[in-house]
Amino acid sequence: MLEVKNLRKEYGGLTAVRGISFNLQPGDIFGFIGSNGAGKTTTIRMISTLLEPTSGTAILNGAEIRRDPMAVRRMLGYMPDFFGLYDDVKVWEYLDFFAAIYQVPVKQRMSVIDNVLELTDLTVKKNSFVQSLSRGMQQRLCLARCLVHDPQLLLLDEPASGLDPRARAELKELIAELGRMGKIVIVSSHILPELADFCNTVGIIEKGELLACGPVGQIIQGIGSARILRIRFIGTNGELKHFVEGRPFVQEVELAGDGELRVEFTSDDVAQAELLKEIVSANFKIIGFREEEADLEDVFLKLTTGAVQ
Amino acid sequence: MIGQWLRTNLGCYVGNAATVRDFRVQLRGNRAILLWGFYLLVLIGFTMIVYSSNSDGSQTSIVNAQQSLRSFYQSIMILLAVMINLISPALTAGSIVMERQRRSLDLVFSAPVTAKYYLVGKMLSSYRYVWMLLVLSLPITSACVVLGGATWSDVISAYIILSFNALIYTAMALLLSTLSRQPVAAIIWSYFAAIAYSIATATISGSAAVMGMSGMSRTLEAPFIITINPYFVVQAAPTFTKIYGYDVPNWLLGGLFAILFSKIMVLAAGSAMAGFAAKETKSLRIHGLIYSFLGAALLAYSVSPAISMVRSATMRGPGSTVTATGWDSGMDLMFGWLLGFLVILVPFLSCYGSDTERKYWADGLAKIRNLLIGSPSGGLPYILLMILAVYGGIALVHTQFGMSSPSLAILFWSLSFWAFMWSLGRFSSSFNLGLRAARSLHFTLMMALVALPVPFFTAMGAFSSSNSGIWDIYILRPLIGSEDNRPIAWVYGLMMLAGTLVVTYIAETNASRKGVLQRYAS
Repeated sequence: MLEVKNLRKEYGGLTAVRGISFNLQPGDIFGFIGSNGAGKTTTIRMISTLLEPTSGTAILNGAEIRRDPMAVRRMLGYMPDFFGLYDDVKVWEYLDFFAAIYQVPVKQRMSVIDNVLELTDLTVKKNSFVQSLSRGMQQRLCLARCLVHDPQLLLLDEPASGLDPRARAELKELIAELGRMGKIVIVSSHILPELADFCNTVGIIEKGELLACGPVGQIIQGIGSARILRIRFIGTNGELKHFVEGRPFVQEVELAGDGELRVEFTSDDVAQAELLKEIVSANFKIIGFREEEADLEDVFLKLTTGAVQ
Repeated sequence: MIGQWLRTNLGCYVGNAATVRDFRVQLRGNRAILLWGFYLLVLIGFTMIVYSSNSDGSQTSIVNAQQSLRSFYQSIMILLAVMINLISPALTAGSIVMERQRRSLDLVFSAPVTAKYYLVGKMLSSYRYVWMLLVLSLPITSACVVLGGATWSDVISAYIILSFNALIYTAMALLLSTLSRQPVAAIIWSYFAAIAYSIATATISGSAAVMGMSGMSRTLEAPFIITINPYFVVQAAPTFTKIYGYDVPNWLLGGLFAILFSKIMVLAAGSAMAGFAAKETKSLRIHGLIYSFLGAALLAYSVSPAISMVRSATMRGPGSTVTATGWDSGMDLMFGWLLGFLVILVPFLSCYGSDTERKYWADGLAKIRNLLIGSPSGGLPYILLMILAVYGGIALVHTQFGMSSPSLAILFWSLSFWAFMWSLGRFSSSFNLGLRAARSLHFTLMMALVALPVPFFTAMGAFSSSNSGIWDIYILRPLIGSEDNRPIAWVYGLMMLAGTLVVTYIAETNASRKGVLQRYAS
């Protein structure tokens, strides 16, 4: 379990992170969302013990980042937003080096390397030089590096940046698999669609402050003040618009193209069903009635001002 | 507990992951073979040239032949000294700075790895390569033994001394690699440091060689200092130091020196890499104090017996004009000049400002509780304590030889002088230029006060101990002249103290005006 308690980082007068707190359980995939410079990397670097917090702390399975950084490091794998690969080193040598510094026993190293290569689908590249790998493969190699010591927490800082769609999809699947393996995964990104697919928890950060944190659905529901309904119909535009405007819980109605209404609705599922029933009862010819799902991007845009770029 | 400590420390030296990885890379492909081939060709070519110039082909006396072979051996050894002087910094200078550029250090230090483990690994990687080059040259130097220019004992001792000197160059380059931001800067600084070290130690080793081997005893007994310069390897190899009646080979003492030297370099590099108040910084500062004390004691121990002997002889001699006060003044000067090493340390101890992620903020003027944690407020107490450590080291040895310690007047002046230098560091930092710029400005200011006036004063008039002149306004006046400088030291000490107060006041006012801490608020 990871507990982040009031984590704060100041540089002289500048506060980069302002007392962030959240808890994560094994199997959680936490999407850390924020604009560039919002404080994502600083937070991740503090959790990874690379940067000392000004105040607050993080505790990973009982080990505290300030008091026992070495114990924390043994339990985490950190993948920064750059590769940091060595030249003239083969894939297995690269992994062997990290297995050695993570104190994986010599006798187990080769089997561990084989396993992580298999997991990241790099077995065929075992004897290739790291500089000869494609960008997607290098990214997977970096993930393999994080896994050599079987960490319980993975900190992935912008893991999909610069990857092509296929490599991005493969990486998403890999991260989802790691979540299924019971690892806590923190993925930072400002590309929201890529997070929405596989994160079960998100945190939105801006100017060093955690604006929202929790399960994706809960946040979307919590933040959305009105549901957006899309009603497609056959007939003249004005009549239905006029009818819907007079119904309860309807905030605003606007025409969204020919034969479609966009309705801002402020009540629950039952009221929504009642609205549909009334429209149909009034003999309007309805061919479509759906709730437009709010996504992370909407939530993010609502919560943040975009001041940090 | 001890077992764990042993395992941890042995793990740094045996099977270090960084060393294993670098070893694979260093020996990969044809590059290593080509490099070694070129290296051997240079050695063989040089050997042939030297050999042909030493042997004129005609019949010669055994004595001349012996001398020629000896000089042939010397030439080979000097070539090897040049090689390690050139190769060790080149191999090491990029080791950390390139990792920083590649941004792979974050990956390493997110693993349970200490700075010491990684730095020792990098140092061993470079050092092992130098060893390989030394071993490669063995067939060539063995020719000297076969021909009769040297004995195996000479060659082995010389190789040990060379390898220890390589360790010193490697450790210096490692520290500079840690401090540098660009590989080119690291290489240039490493060569600069290697050359400066070679010149400084050549002066010391040369004096020691003259004093130990020809001037005083005319035996192979010599101060071990002779071994810390690779260019004196032939002279140093057979020498020894008498300790409690035992002849201890100087290569052994030189080796001990090299290990201690490299340890403090690795600690300094570790402190530079680690965060604020890291245990590496505390360890470095404690080691710095111990080394200052021991270094001063060792130096005093090296020169005091001879000085004591000459002092007694000259003061008792017929028509002697040498007085006890004159000798004591000499001791004062030695103490004062010995503190010259602080000129490199003081900018690191007194300046503050921003330095990428790590910030050295002005956390007060002087706080004894911050003595060891590396914050700027611990700088002044640490500088003063270091001066006291040096004084204590000399005083301890002088007491053993029945000689007086350096005077309290020179101690007072030294404390005031270095406090003044510290205040210049605060002054440089108060402009809020960043840490590196502040250190550069501080060093420049110190040099402007200490070195810049010398040519002008020299042009205006020669120094005289008895008459006042332009040299009386020289900041190091208490450290020049053969007369009793104690009264001058008291006066100059008071002036330095007043100067410290004034400059510190200006610095703090300037820092407040510039709002050093406010700069990062926006």
